[in-house]
Amino acid sequence: MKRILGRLLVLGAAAGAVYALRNYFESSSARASRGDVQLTLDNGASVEPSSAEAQEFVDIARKVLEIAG
Amino acid sequence: MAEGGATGVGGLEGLLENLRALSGEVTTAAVLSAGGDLEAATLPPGVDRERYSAMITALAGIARRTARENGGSGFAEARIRADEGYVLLVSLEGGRTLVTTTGPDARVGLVLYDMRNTRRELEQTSGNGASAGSETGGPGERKQ
Repeated sequence: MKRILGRLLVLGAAAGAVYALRNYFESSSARASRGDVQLTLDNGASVEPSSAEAQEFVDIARKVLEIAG
Repeated sequence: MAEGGATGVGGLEGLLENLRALSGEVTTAAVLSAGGDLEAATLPPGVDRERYSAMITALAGIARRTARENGGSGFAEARIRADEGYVLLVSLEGGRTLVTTTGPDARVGLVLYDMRNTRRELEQTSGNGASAGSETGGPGERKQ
């Protein structure tokens, strides 16, 4: 009984690790990279937002594209 | 409002349809009011207009905020690339925004050029309350 419980525990841990890794790779592939967002201001200046802001832009843009089909 | 086809040609939707016809890479086009309402749009059937409108309003809001944080009073253009394609924003007079979406392989420079031309026509349309004038150098002038 103890051995079965031990094996179940190991299996559970392995499944959890696989799930975490999968999530990590999925989110990193969707991460905004340099040049993904470019803004031209009304004064003519060109701006590239910080990575956090760029990520926000890309996440919403992805939703827009998803809705637009 | 147009859904996948031109209705009210000569008005806002007609101009958006012209833009879509000219730039074959444009999948959807919309004009957003300063208050975040969808004034006109060319969307395929089945698209949830409210969700689409909410998302592009959010995008325009972030673009304005980012522009202010970087010393501007607003943005003129924004280009956002995602895996699925591009979302392009061009600011219009009075806080309105012209938004288009394209596929991932679109020639974005060309689409932005057509959007700039359409902007003039859209501003004229809203200024006159009538259809666009003929001297605008609008999107109809570029041959495909």
